[in-house]
Amino acid sequence: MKKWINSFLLISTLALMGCEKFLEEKPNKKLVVPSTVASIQTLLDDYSTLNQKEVTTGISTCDDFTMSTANWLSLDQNNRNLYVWSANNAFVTGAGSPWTTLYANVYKANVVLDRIDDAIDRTTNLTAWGNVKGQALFLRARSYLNLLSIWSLPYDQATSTTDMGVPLRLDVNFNTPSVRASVEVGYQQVLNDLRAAAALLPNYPVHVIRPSKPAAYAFLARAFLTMNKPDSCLKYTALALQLKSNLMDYNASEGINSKAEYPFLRFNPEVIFETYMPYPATLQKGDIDKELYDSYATNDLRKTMYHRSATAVGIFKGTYSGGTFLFNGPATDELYLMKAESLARLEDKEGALTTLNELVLKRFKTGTFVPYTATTVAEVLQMVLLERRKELVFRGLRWMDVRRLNKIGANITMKRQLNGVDYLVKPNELRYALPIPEDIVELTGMPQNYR
Amino acid sequence: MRNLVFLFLVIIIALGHHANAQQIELRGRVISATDQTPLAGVTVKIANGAAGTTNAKGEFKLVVTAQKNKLSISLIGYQTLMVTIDLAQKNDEVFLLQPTIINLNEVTITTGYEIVPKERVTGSFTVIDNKTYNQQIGTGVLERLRFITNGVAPVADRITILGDNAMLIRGMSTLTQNIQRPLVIVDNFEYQGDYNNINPNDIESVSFLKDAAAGSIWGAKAANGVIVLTTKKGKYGQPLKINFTSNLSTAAPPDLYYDKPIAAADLIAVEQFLFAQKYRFTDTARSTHPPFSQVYELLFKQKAGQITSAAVADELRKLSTKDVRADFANYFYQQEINQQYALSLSGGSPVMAWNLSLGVDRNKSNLAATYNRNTLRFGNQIQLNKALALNLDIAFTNGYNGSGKPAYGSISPTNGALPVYSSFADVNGNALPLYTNYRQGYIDNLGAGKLLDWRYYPLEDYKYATTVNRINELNATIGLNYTILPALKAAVNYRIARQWSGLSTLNAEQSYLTRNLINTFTQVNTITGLVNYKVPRGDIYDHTDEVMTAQNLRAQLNYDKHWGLGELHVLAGTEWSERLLSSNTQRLYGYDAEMLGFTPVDVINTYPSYMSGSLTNIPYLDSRGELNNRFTSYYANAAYTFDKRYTLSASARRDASNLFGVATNDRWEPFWSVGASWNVLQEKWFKSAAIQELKLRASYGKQGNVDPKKVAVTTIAYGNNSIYTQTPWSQVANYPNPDLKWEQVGMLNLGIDFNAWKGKLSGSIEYYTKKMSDLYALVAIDRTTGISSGTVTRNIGQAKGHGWDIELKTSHQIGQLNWNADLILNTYTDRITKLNQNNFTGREVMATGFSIVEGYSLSSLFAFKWAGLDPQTGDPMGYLNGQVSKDYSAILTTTKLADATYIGSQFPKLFGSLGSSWRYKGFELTARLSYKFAYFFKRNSIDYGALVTQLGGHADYAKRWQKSGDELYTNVPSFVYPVIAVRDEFYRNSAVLFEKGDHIRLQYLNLSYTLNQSAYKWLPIKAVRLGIAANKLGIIWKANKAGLDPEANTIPRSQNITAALNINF
Repeated sequence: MKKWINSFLLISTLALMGCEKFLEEKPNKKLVVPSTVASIQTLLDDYSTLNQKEVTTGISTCDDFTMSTANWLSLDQNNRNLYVWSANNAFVTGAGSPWTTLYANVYKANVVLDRIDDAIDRTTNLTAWGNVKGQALFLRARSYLNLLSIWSLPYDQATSTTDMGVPLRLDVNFNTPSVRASVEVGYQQVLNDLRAAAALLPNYPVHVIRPSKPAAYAFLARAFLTMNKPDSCLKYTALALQLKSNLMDYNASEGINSKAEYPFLRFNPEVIFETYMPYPATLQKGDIDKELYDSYATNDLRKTMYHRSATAVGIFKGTYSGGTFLFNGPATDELYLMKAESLARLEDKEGALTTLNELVLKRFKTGTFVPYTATTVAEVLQMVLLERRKELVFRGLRWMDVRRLNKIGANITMKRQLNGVDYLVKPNELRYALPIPEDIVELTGMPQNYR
Repeated sequence: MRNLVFLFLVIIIALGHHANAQQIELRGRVISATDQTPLAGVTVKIANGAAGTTNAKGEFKLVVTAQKNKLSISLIGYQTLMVTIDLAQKNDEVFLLQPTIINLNEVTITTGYEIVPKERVTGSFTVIDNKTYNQQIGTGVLERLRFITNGVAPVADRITILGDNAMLIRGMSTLTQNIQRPLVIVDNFEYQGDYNNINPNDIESVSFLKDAAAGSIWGAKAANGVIVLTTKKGKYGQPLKINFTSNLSTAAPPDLYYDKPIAAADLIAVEQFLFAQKYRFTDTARSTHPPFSQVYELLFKQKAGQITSAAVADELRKLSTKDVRADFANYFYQQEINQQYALSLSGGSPVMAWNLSLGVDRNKSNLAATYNRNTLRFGNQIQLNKALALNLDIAFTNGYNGSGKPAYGSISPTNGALPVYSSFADVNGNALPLYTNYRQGYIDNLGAGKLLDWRYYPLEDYKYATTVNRINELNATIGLNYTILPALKAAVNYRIARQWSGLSTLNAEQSYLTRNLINTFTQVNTITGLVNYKVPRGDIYDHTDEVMTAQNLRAQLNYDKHWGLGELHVLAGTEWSERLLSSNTQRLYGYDAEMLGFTPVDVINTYPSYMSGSLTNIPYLDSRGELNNRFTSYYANAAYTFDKRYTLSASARRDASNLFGVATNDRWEPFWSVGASWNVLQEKWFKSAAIQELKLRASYGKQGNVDPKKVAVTTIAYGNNSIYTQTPWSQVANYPNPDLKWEQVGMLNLGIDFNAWKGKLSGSIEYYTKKMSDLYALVAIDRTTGISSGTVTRNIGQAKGHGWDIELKTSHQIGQLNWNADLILNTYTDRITKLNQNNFTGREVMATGFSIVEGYSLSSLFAFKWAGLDPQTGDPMGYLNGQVSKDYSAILTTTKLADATYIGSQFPKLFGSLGSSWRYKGFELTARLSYKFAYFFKRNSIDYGALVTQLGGHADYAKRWQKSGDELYTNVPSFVYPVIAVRDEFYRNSAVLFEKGDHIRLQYLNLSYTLNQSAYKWLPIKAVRLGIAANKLGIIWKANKAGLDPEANTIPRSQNITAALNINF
């Protein structure tokens, strides 16, 4: 009988030894600890989260559209408040708020940056490694640029070190408290990340759903434009245009199907990097600003290719996303406009005009465009700004533009007229920093924006 | 199978014929001491060597030479009987054999690892015998355990987060709902398949392991209690037994009028008001053409001058008399009919015992959904030689679920709720369309005949959209028991279970889903008129195939030794298990069920939607998955009993699993328990004729729960490949949370078991305390961290719980009348004693689910303090910093606990049941009341946000504040437009909407008549029982005055009547 006991003990010992091996099997085939360059890349290819859920705040707050009182009243409370730049309850609390969306993107970028330096195959896949790191830095930077433009005051060199920015989260530890950094620190982080990304990203991406060097340059140009630094803006616009400068002729071109309901195809030749927003509830119930609509010339193809009519509610069709979503990524047309604006600000009247004419020529019916001329730089600047507004309508850029332009004396007052009441935001008012969602303030104790 | 049965019969009969006559014949009969059934195959030996066996009637004959004979009567599974027979005195004696394990009048408890006699038990168990188990008839195996189990609370349907038919054993032990369920064991191993695969007629008894001493042997999964289902088994030496059961049940359709939607006339008035506000007018210009309600369409026609105001008024008046509940009741609901048949056979020879059972269920739900189940179970135990025994069990289940008609609440337009005035058919019974996705008028004539009909017909659609789920399960167990030494036994058991399930949905071309997709992706050439279908014509077939393979292997040593007055029982072993689940989902377009043909579609490129022109992809559903959960465990259990008076027990177990991303040294977790019992009755000094049983018990032990979120590194989960880059994409699956510790539950149990005056009063009283430490909870986290769910799992603190489990039974014989009654009385209270962080405010606390607040129950309900309605406006009013306030958004975000109203517990603090049965001759009447006290629930009321945006409202709309003075009679706020979401949210979570849940219910009433062969000799069968059972009879008393069933989720379950027949051959 000893034999039996011995063999039982033997089996038990063997079992103990085999145990760790038995437990090494993964509980779910789809679960992975991201440790290779390729597996870390997968986090950034989550396009439905990272490219297709852009925040729409910049649309709801801008003055490119108006809304009737009845339509305004039919909106939910947060959208009603946001539309009139209310000091509170302008955003839903919880998972649906744009704050959550943008910081979730930041977290994802941080996860990648946390893992990528330790990737086990880093040395054998150096190009791919750099590409992944560049994509993460790019994602983090563009998320912060968006956050800064919604919840902090516009960049002002004089006060930027004391103005309240947004909390900068640069690691994955969720136990670190969220504390607001200054506007200056925020913009420097954006610029540093973008510069580093531009150095790492490839000239040409596998697909425009992934960022590339010109995309990083375009965002650098956008950032400097918001900071009212035309020289740097010009520098990066030029760098981006060196790599990608195709413009579509709206009369006929690859990427255009003028017969279709939505005339611009997805991933058309002007698209540098594709992201889009869902159609916001506010714009669904709004009409394009009458004055803006009327500013399109009769022969301007954009008038009919972008808009059905001045009162065509909720059916803007000029998006580069090919459908009901609103494209907001960088495209070459934006580069031309940034270049023209920077040149004008740097007093290069002819350069600015040439650049502008090069773009607008392709937007008019063939043979109808009379190139713009001007006698003063100020005139050119006005032309560029109007073209910018007409070309980039509903790309979510107008809110950023009003903020920065008022900083340099544009004196734009945005106005809503509802139920006989006028709602105004005067230039450089504190309300240009929108209210942080109440639940965030409550949980973190961070200071709310001043009113 | 019939041949097999026949073969067994032949063996049994053959074994019975051995004796022949000589000088003196020693005759006798051997019967079982427990149930007096004759025992066949019993070996009867005389000291000089003559031997024989009993026949099927338990009789034996031996030829002997002497008058005095020493007899040894033995049978496996029974204690060997040694007697001396003096034939001069007596012959033809009846010998009673005691089963080895079962002592006289004693219950045994099956833990899944061993069978323990109740007298040796130190922990807390509830055992449900077969008779009690069968008092509630139904298809499911766990449903029958509701209301009859001491210490177990059936969870109300209203609390949906714990799942259907959930049970809580001694309250909640964790705040994490997905690890809240008790562990279910069938015979020796955890049951890994679908519980519906088990035929309840195969269940012999059920043991609930309620405390640590009972459950810790099951380790990491046992913290919420363990339910051990024991199937029926054959017995060695038992003659053939045949039993047939038939149950025919029916239940009335649910009472849809229990639901209280806004009245049609009120809804129409609200819509007229909204129309006047130009609400949703912009939707008329949207390229997606969203639908409008019937009322809105009429008003639009009136506005356009297409119809006169008088005609509109007339139409609206007609609509206001309609009620969609009537259409649901008329067209969709019917009587539920369930048929259940079960046949079981069992028998045994001296060396073999077997049982075979067949079950057939044919159910038709009140929505005409089909559930068919066929089960087959075969069990066999063979004594291969003196030392080695083999068990073999095989069970096969074939299940079929077929979809029926749509349920109330399941039909609605995509942009709202189904208006209460909707109709599914016109006066002639013809199907009417419901505009769910697109606007009436627009799609009616769209496409100039090139498109399929784009309308949805609720009355017809379910006929073309059918879902079928087929489940086959094969479950086989093989076990070897080897007796190494008389005291030492080794056992190896292996089970493999495999379940194949195929879920398929066929959306025929006539179905709305298919027509909608085909139309959306139809391209019509405007010049040639040619039609190009990007989604092909034909059916759409979705199917998911899932294969589950579970394997368990257990090796165990048992040591049982008596010496002197002491006895020692030790078991130790190891268990390895694996559960592999692979799934595969696919969609086929253009499917032809006849020819099995289908058409591939282009899911990569986008196509313009016919409706809006927006470019979209054709939906793609294909996916694959493979899950593999592995566990290894080591365990030991020992009990020492001295002089049948004192028992000490201890158990320990270590578990490890393949949780992903967990550091190896964190994978192991020990659980342990100790216990003691004192059998007072066995004390020499204790002498009382009145007391037949008196035992005191105490135990303490630790159990635990592990949350799969406990990982040390970030893990990601892969999705499908990106259609743009052709590379996979992934999302973060788990955030690194290495500080998370195992949740621990320590339980102290004190109990007393007693029986006085021979059953006139018996039962048990138990008191227990639970200490839950390192409780997991989802803790609110600032979303700035990037964790978009806004919560992380943390060990939030500690909680304590305590309760009483009291079961009292009484049994009386008054002449021919036998009366039995039992009272189950349970209390349970718990309290969070310590929270590591205390930043819960307003919204978080009031959120549905369970509020986590220090000093309050784990299942507490909190609400905003109610200050009545504003007499000027009818606005609801609350409190902010002690002042009456209408600043709802500040109230929602900043209300501190001091300003909130504590309502109470969601789970009853006092609950149980009272059962009674009366037997007179062949008649038996059984009834049971259940009760739940000291708990609360929240009732529904009007939500103006839902009313305006969805057209879904509550009848409370009629009670709303309309003018000053109304606030004296109503608490329903006034209707304001535009809707203020925070005002609704405040009202929805205010103290005024909570009701007391206390109620008493008549659970079931059974009447049966039994004809026994012993009483009626002419009966060709042993016994036949005819019965009628009524179940879920309803509330007989409730505390709330609102007329609400405190337990119902939407509509209460309906009464159910069963005609039952049981025949014993």
